[in-house]
Amino acid sequence: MNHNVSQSELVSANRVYDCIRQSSFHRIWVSFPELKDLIQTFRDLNLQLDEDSKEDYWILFNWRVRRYQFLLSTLPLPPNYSLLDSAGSLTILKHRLTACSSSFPAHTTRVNKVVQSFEKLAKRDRSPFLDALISQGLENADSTIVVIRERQFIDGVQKVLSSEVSTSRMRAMSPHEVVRNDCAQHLVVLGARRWYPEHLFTAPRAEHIHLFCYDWIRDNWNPEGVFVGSKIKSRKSDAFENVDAIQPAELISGSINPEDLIAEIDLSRFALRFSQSREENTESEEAEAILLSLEGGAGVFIDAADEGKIRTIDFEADGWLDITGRRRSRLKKIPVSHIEPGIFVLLRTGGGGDYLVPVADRFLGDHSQKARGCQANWKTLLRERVRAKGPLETSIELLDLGSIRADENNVRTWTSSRNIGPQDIHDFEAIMRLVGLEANTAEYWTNTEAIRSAHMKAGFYISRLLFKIVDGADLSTLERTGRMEFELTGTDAGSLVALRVLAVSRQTFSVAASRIGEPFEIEEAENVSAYGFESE
Amino acid sequence: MLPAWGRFFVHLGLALSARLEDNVRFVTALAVPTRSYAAALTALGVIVSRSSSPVERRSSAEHFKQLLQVDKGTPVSILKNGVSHKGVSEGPYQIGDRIWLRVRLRGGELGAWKLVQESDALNVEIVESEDENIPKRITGRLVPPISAFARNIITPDSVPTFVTVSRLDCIIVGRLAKLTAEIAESRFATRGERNGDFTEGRLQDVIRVRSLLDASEHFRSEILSSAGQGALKMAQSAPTVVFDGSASFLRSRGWFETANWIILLDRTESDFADAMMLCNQEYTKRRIDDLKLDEMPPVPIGVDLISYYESQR
Repeated sequence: MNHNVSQSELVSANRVYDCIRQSSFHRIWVSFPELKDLIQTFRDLNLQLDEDSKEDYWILFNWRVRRYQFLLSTLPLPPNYSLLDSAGSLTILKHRLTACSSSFPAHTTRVNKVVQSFEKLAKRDRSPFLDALISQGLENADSTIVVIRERQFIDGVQKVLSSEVSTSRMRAMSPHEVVRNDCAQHLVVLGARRWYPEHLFTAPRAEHIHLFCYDWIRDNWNPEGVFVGSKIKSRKSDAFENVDAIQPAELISGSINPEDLIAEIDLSRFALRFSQSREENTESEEAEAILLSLEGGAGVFIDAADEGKIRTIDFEADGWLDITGRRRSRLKKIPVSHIEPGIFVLLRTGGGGDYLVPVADRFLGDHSQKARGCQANWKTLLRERVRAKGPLETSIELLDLGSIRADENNVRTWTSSRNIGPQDIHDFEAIMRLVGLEANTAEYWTNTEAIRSAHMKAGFYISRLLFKIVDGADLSTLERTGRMEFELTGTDAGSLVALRVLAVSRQTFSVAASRIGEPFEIEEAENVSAYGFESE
Repeated sequence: MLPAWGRFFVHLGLALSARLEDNVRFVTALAVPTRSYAAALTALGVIVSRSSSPVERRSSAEHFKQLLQVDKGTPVSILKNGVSHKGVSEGPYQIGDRIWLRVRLRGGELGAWKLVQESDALNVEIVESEDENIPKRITGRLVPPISAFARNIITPDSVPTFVTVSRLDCIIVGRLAKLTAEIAESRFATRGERNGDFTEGRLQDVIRVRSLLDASEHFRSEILSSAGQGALKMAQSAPTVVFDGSASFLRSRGWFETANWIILLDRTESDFADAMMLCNQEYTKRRIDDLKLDEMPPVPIGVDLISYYESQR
């Protein structure tokens, strides 16, 4: 099997070099005045907003409009297409417009213009990109690939392509998928080139690359990925030279900078809204976490602890055998510090981030309530002690009481509900003495060990189940859209979702422990105040 | 026939390996449209080029002295009539006024030993294996002779020692599964000069990756995972390191600061831009002279390249 894989990789590599040698670029400018009108009225509003635009109120308003503009500038979907949720956005924008007259009366006229332009645009039922694609008469075959930057719309675009006679056989693919597939005949890129990974143009995977772009966008792009001291410059294909140098006027066209259209939102700005517990208890336990920005405007906090690991799906494992000749599993546990953009993380949807606990509770059976109760009890008492005296003093007290590993970090870890407890009986006895539960040490220790054992069993059980599900599943949806759900039937762990990581925060956040590992959508921010989960 | 892009990488390895100098090290970085086979073929060039430099063999006396000093229980292999036997050293053994090396060849209660004299010392090799067990009966493994595939492309003078002497000429850092498949699974063919016939083989016949060989066989290179800690053990004196991909370079470059570097960056990788930026920074900071590769075949379309010398770190 490995032999076949490697041999076909050789053939594929050969095709890549052939493809680059033969590639040609074709530019098609497309008109879309209604979208240009929205972009201009929106730009006027933002000029007027000036410093006000940095307020949360406008950030979310702006993000909705900007995202709609951007999606229409890069997708061959009609403005009224259901997935774009133009109706939902319009309702929210109108609601904002109503509130605007009292909160920001000076901006009401401009906001009104934006809403009107939005409304007019949202009624259109044809995409100019799609019409242009049809009119160009490109070969209607599966070797014609339409590249879709926003993966969550790939299935939607594929449906639209399939519904047209002239495009029914074309395939919609993410840039990542384009690379993994064999070289195509035609590659259709929609929008400004700088919105796409450079390799689509510097290492093209098709013989003909068709650059469709709206004529009011200024598509000035230069590859950045070159060596500063390169003397033996790469010989570009003639067609690529043409696109870059010979037709600059045709390439640049409009006046709107593509950077201004990109609708990326800084998730960390809203981290506070998603970092707090859903429960009333404001004294809830916190942990340090990093924030992952995920496919489709989602985010998740992941425990930043050094020893933390996270389950991921590794596509590279496909088709390969391990050293013993067994097929390598796609499921891989990696340290949190190794998470990087492009990786697919596996998360639990609903019911909290940790999918191990409900399964472990099943292994504990009737004993689970009592064991968890004891655990919660000593952790609450220890947490109160830490809150009153600080982690340093608590750790010194524990050391005086016979603990071996009670440094500040370990004390913080032991107070966390995500940790079962110390593994050494001496540390545990010291805690019991400190919190006044010395008489119950034996009983509490037995419970702690029972929980530990149940977690281990649950870990093995879930791993086995996940191996079966993930290794047996057709992951093309995940690869295509960057998102895929899995049902863990027969457990209380519910469903899991695999999501592609787009960015990893450099800073860490103090997050309610219950929010760790629980994905959230940016749209939720509109319903969450900066101080908790209340509707605005 | 190997396509032009493939020949380019082989020639790159050949050309660069011929430029090894004492007080400077070379750094060559390439942006490639796909990582496939680039590292494996470059390493092939490196090994073929290095095969022209004779393996420095110690004298029997020197080697014997070293063998006598290793700890008791150290795994060794003994070559006898083209067959390699597994054993463990039991240290020096004196008979009269002569010293022998005593090697245990059979485990269990009924042991079997071989006494090695100084003149046969070069047939004994210390095996870097954690497995110190020896079988309960004497077994041997036939050492495969050099393949016709390898014989067709390595320097003729090196044929006698190519499969009987180990030397680490090159380390490749990358994804082990992919490298293993490309090096040990894919079939290629080389043409003999005498009869012009093609002979099929694997790149492994020439690259001779240590971890893909039996412990008793002799190696010329090693592959290491950029994700693993294996590289720490190997951060020794391979003259050339090939980084297969941006992640390999970004994660592992610190382990090989004295080696010559060939860095292959796949333009389609997510961390390509970071690796490219780092290469440019290193070039600006450390370059002392350009390394000219004028006699090379043309650089394939889609490949960009810099090559320079810097002072030894």
